[in-house]
This record gives sequence, structure tokens and C-alpha cells, in this order.
Amino acid sequence: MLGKLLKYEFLATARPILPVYAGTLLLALFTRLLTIGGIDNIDRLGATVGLLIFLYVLSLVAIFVLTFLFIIIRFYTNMFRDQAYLTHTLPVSVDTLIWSKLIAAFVWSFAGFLVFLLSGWIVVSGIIREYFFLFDIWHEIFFLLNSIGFDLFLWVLSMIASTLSGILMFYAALSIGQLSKSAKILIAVLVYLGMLVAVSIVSTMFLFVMWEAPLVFNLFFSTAQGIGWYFIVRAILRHKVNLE
Amino acid sequence: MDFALECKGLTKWYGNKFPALNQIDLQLEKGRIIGLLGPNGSGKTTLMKLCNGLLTPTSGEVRINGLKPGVQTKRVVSYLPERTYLADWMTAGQAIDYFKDFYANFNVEKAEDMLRRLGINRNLKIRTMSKGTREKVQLMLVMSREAGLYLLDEPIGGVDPATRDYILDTIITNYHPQATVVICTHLIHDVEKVLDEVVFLHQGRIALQATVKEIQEERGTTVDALFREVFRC
Repeated sequence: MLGKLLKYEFLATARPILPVYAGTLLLALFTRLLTIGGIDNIDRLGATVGLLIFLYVLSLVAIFVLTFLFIIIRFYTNMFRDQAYLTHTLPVSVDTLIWSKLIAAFVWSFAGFLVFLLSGWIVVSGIIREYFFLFDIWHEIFFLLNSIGFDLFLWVLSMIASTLSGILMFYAALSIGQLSKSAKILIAVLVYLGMLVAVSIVSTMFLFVMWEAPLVFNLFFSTAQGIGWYFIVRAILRHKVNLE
Repeated sequence: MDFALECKGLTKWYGNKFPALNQIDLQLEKGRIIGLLGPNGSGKTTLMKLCNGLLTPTSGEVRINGLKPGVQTKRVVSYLPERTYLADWMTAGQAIDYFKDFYANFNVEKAEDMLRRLGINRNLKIRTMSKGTREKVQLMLVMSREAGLYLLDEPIGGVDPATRDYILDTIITNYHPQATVVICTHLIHDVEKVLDEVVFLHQGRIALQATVKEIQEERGTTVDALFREVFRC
């Protein structure tokens, strides 16, 4: 059942998200084409390049904002609005439902990150081609990070945990908002802000103790948070569903 | 014996003024077509939603085949809600695929046949359909499941009289002898001819539960006339 849910999850979310990603890559490509002669060329093309770079930066912001917005809207409409009448009458457990949404949201977040890197690479490779080769830059960056004891594997794990717990935090806030009889969205937003404050207070406190290993700390803290949010969402969906 | 549907002391409060359902005790046997009848706001939709786990009871419980609403009951319950629950980007054909994917008891041939008879284009998107057409598509999906319990909330409310006849006809001919159908409506005159039993709901309580035969033979009246009498304003 998880496979089938994922299929429809991707079908539904790809519709608004893919055009945003495609648009960003297209803008990066245009920017790259106009700056093909290197940095010196920028002066001559002036305003056009400026506008393109502005639009491109805007689309990078759009990637992150819109990806999360679509993830939130999808969960809200499919779990609590009219579509929920179908979602909650499918012969599927609450856990499978949550995981299908979480996995799809995670894949989109990761895809958004890749689009961000790829489009950045397209733009930058055009502008500074004469000065560096891109792979040299990566090499330099890794060398630098290694020299200060940066653990790439730990960083990847820690990023995965933060992304998952970040998505689950949205879900938990939306679910708690549903417990209210009115102003459900407003309450969800307030709950989310409250969660953010609480999380930053706790993480700051612990970071003082574990300042020597911030990545290890983040990995454990995000995992613990993620599990907490998951069980809040699960409990509400199992015992407190009240569709309007 | 397990009942198709059983409620014990089922109560649901929304606000603080009065309950939408108040201490409902109800037992519906298998193999019948039952009309759940009552004026607007009598608690019909609330009862249907509780049976599907879309609402949590304030107190009491509801059981389907002896089980509380959950994955097991969702396999055998085919529910038609009173709103559009399909994503608006889907086409009628995609909606059929969706039901085929999730419900083992979904009969694709039956669905395709109903779609043809109702004259609905497979490639039409839900978004571009009229309200009546959307209702027909949902009813087609719900009735194409070979379910144990059909819970139909206003299945004929939004469609024309000709389609109404076709739908009622489908309900009688489609279901197998062990299946139970609960029809929730206030168009009593139209459904009377297909019903075996009626339950009258009034302000969250059961006002009457009787077979249509009892009403017609013993009381010498019709369900429609009895309804007007019980619910006289």
C-alpha cells in the first residue's frame, strides 16, 4: 500500500513543484548563456544580466519557500479538508499514510537542494570559467573542510535527520491546529512558531554542553525531535480526527 | 451474530449547546436496504462520519461487523460523502485507477460500464465537471465496489430525476444479498420504493425504527406520509 500511496503522492505534488524547478534551471541557463564571454562581458550586457541574476536569485528562494509551502498544503488538504474524506476511508494504516507523505516531501526537499546546486553550478561556471575550474573549487573546499576535521558522512546524516524532523514539525503543528474548533490555520501557525522558539532554546542550551561536536548533537537532537513530532501526528490522526 | 452496523450510546458534541447525536442505540442487520431519514441537522451525516472514522465519538461506540472503524472496516465499507473528495486534477479514468489500486473489491468493468451509461467522458477532469457530474462519478466509484456495507449520504440529492431512477436501480440490482445499504436522504418519496427498513433521526435521537412493511401494512400509511406526520413543524 505504501508504494501505491507514494505513486499518487508524487503525481499530486509534482504538478506544482516541477514547473518551479524547471523554471529555475531555465533561468540559470539563460544567465549562463548571456555571461558566456566571462565576467568582462557582464559590463556590456549590463541591465539584462542584472535582471536575470535577480530573477535567478529570486527563483532560488522560490525553490525552498514553494517546496515547503506545497508540502504543507498537500498534507493539510489531503489529511484535513475535503480530500481527507477519501484519504481516511482508504484501507490503509495511519502510519503508512504519514510515511507516504513524509517520504515524498523528503524526496522533494532533496530534489530542491539538487536543483539549487545544479543551477548554481550552471551560473557560476559561466561567470568564472576563466579563473577556476569548478572541480578545483570543490577540491579546495573539501581540502579546507577536512583540515578542520569536517566529517562529510556525519554532515549528510545530520542533514537528513534535520530535514525529516523539519517536515514532521510542519505536520505536527497542522495536526495540533486541527484540535481547535475554530481558526485552525492561525492556531497551527502559532503552534509552529512556539515549537521553533522551544526548539531553539533547547538546542542552544545543549549546544553549550556539546559544543565540541555540533554535528553529533544535531543528529541526535533532530532524530529525537522527529520521533516526538511523528508520535504527536500519529496520535492525533488515530484518535482525534474530526473532519468538518 | 455481528450486525452490519451497531451503535451503543453513541454521542457526539460539536459545540456546547446541544449534541449532534445523543445516546444513539442502533442495530442494523445484514442484507437490507435501510433509509436513514430526518430533517436537516438531525445528525444523519454525523452518524455516517462516525461510522467511517472521520469523526471521533464524544462517548459510546460504533461497530461495523463487530469491529470499531479501522483498516479492517474500511476494506468493506463503501462510503459516499456529501462533498467532492477527489483531487480536482484527476480525470474520471484516473479516479477509476485510484479506486482499483486501493480497493481489492473494486470492479473495474462495472465502473467503466456505469461511466458509459451515465455518458461521462473518461478523460474529463473533475475540475471541469458540473456539480451533478461530480456526484455521478463518485457514486459510480462507490457503487462499483463489491462492499459489505454501503453508506450513501444524499446519493440522489444533486441529480436529475432520470439519473435518480438509474441510481436507485443500480443500488437495488448491484448489491449482493449479504450486503447492507444505508441511504441517508430527505427525498423520501423517491427512495421509499427501494427501502426495506427506515430509521428516523430527530435532533440527534432515534425517533423511530421500523420495516417499510410494518409501516405500510400495520399502520396503513406510506413512509413519506409518516415522515411528514412525525416531523410536522
